[in-house]
Amino acid sequence: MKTHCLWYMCKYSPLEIAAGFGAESERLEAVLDTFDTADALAHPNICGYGKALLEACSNEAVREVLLVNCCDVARRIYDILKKRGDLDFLWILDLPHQRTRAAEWMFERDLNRFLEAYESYLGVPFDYMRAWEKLSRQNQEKADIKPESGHTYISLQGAHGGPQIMRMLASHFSVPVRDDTCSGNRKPDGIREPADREEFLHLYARSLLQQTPCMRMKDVSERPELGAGAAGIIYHTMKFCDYYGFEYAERKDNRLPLLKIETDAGGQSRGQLATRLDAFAEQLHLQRAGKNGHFLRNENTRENTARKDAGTGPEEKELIMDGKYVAGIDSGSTSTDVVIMNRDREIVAWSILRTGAGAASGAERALAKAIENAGCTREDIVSVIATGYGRTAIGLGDEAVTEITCHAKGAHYLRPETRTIIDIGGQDSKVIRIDAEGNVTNFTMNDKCAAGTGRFLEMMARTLELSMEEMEQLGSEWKRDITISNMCTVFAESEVVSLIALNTPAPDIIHGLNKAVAKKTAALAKRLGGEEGYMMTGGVARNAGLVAELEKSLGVSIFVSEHAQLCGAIGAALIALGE
Amino acid sequence: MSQLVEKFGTYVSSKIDTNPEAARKLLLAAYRAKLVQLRHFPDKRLSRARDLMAVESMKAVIAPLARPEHSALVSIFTPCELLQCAGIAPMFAEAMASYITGADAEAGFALHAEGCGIPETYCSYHKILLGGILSGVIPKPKFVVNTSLVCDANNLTFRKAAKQFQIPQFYIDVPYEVSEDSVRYVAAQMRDLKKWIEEQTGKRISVEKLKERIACGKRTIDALRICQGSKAGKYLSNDLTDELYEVFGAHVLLGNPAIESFAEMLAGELKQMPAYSGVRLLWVHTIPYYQKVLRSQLNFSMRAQVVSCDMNYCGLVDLDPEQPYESMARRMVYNTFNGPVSRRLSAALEQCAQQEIDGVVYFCHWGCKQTLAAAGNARAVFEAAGYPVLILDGDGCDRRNAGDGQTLTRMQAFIEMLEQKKQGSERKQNV
Repeated sequence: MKTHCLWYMCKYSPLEIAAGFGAESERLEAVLDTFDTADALAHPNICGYGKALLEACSNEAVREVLLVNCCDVARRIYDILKKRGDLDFLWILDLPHQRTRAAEWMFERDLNRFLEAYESYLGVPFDYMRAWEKLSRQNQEKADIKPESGHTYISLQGAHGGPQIMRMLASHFSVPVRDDTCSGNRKPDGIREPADREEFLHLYARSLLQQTPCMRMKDVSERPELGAGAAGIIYHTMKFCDYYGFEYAERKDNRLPLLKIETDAGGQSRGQLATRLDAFAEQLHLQRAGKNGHFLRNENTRENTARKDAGTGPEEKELIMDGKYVAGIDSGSTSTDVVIMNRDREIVAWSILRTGAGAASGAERALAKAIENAGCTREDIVSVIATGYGRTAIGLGDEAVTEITCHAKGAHYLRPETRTIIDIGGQDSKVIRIDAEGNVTNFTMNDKCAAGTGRFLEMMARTLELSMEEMEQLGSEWKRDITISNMCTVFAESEVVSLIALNTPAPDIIHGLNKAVAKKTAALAKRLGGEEGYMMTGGVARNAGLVAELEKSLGVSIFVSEHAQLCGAIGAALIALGE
Repeated sequence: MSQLVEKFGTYVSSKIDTNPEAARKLLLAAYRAKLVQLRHFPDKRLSRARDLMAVESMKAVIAPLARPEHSALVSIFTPCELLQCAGIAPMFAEAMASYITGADAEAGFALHAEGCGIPETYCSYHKILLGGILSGVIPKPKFVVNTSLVCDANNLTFRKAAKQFQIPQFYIDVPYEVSEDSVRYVAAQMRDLKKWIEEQTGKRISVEKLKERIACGKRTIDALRICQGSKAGKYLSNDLTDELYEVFGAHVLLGNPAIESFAEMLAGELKQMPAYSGVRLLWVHTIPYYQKVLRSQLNFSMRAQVVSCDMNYCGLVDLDPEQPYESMARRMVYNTFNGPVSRRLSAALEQCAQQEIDGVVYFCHWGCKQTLAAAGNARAVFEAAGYPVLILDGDGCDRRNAGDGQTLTRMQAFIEMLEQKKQGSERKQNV
């Protein structure tokens, strides 16, 4: 007999019913770099998982699909697939939002409808004992898995993550990662041996409904218990999935360390995601050694090889004490910044150069320039720490540390009273909260969209045919308060073009842009619960007009150091000193 | 005038974080002034029925702001007849957000909500409402009553609001399946709701009074059906806001005698309206009534008009005053927005045929995933039936997500295309 497979998406799916027919079940997954099919069939502004599901259902192996009306997008995917009509079997299950007796009755009734439809499609009778045995076996397996004493884990929560994210997490953390996302924690309880099919369905409906609720259920009071005993929670949200964005907002004050990651279920933005995971692993001291891990050592750099050959590695500290230097390199998307520091934590020299086309050559040039400024030689630099986007790519440095940790160290160095750092970089903006010792206590970053970043301002400067310096200067000369309502880079550009066409003076437009970026950044800071003692770092801190708008939006004063742009590199240099 | 409103909106926005009480007072004062204008100096281009609906809509927004302790936060498809019997005014996202947008203050509310962690991609109506609630501008109502119908936002906004205000919430679970079993399931919840409201208010709700409200709703629906059927070939002398007001009347305010008067008056007026040869559009989903570029093309226009909005058709369900709970349940279960999207599209096709529609504007309101994700199916269904479709991205209430230039070009091009099509078919008929 042909083996049937029922493809599903939701943890409330009655997989044991499939087993009662001898059919297998598989979760629908697709990781793609583009969503062309889904964009054409639906709309670009739906969640990535919904798009991935549509793509997955285009796979020839997928012939039988069971969906659940768990969210708006799932309902519409059913509509699209139904209209397309190329599957052998397609069903949508009507999951109640409540867990009352009446809701259980409705669900039992709907499970029976599905069962009859699948039975009629397969042409084989349903064996309720086989379904019951599958449920019981799973529960026995669950009971057999006893966590080792003291064994901790990372809990992945929020929106569907899928195997790609699970694999990525596993490569960053030294402890296991548990899938507690909406599609992951499927744990229906075992039921007593049923007397007949009706009793099986009656008990089974209840068992499915009594699982830890997902966010679309009415009563979600049990959800904070997810992740009990975990070392930290990685909270996954997806653009255009509202349920888990909401829960994240309420989890901000979680007792456990929490990191938010946002993906679109595609393979994009791995670099940005890796930065966040590295920083979180650093924060929890659970970094996995080796490739993709924290403190990633560039074992094959010329310097390391030479040092190993000469046997000088363990003597680094001693060399520093002998008066030699350390360097921190911040390889950003726009500029590469280098700081050379002596053993007394004094900045000896620095350089800021445009990164240019290649991160590695940009870093080489910037380091050479800083060495020249310091009047020393490459050999005098006994330890180099790299940070920033290019930290693992530049091939320089003994270790790579995320810019989150480096900015924290750097800000503490520049002003020990700092508790909240706002860093608007070329590629992303971040808000980092630190304690009195300069340790990261929490952080957040913008999503991968360029809105509100230095890149956004650069693009607008280009539209206005101004240099960044001119833009920073003109921004404070505004007369009329105008509002740029679009934060999407593309829409904002067309709004700016319209204002230019209306002869709006450039300073007024720049002020509008500064205001827009400031409001977006302030929202990010408020989300994290920014604390007094604000400092702004990164190149955008030079933009006095923007800083003033940010102060207005947050209702606080913000300290800007003369070394604001060097903050990450300073932090890297301090880490090189062993701090 | 628009500059004055813009300044007012900016001023209100500046108070949201620092002095929410002042922001509320400002809004309330502006709404009361608007009510005076609507009552005494209505737009002369509008009919009497439309004037009446504008007044009732304004009153519906003022009531919960002025007397929050006698109001309940509800979702748009919540039947409110029980609340009417208990003297509780409904407060709902679509009206609150639309009027905040009318005051040009929506960006401040949306940004406040985003600052509190509400996703940027969330439905703007709900986001603006939550911005008002989380900032303290929108006052604390007595309780929350909402349904799961018809989108995810209903499962989130109202739970969050109840938690924020620390007030009780009653949730009506409406099954996706359109059947009499679902009606029975929901009717049982409506019976529980009656008891629950009685407990919350300390007032008994008379079943006879409830039946009267259902009977009023039934008469209103009958009249609204006549209105829908009378629109073919007529000049409607309307604007985009009219259709939005009617959405409030056809759902949350149903059962209110003033809405019955509106519907009956409108049915009479429509019979008298002159013939119209311009482009006739069906608007699917909410309407960005504030967008100047759309108003300039469609308000009181002899060239193109919005004949109807599908949100004013979806709830026209048979009611039986002798079965009040089942009737309220039926309005939700049989709402054409419930269940698969084919139900909604079939209903829109009925409107197209009944109202001699030339083209359909399918409006993809920012954050409304169930509408966005059905855009492909909608295009296919309307085009297969011979109705050209404009899939228009925008936002029903947040200017930040609406691109005027693109909207104008698309709408104008669509009208031009439909005009050419009409001229072509007229030429064929003459030959």
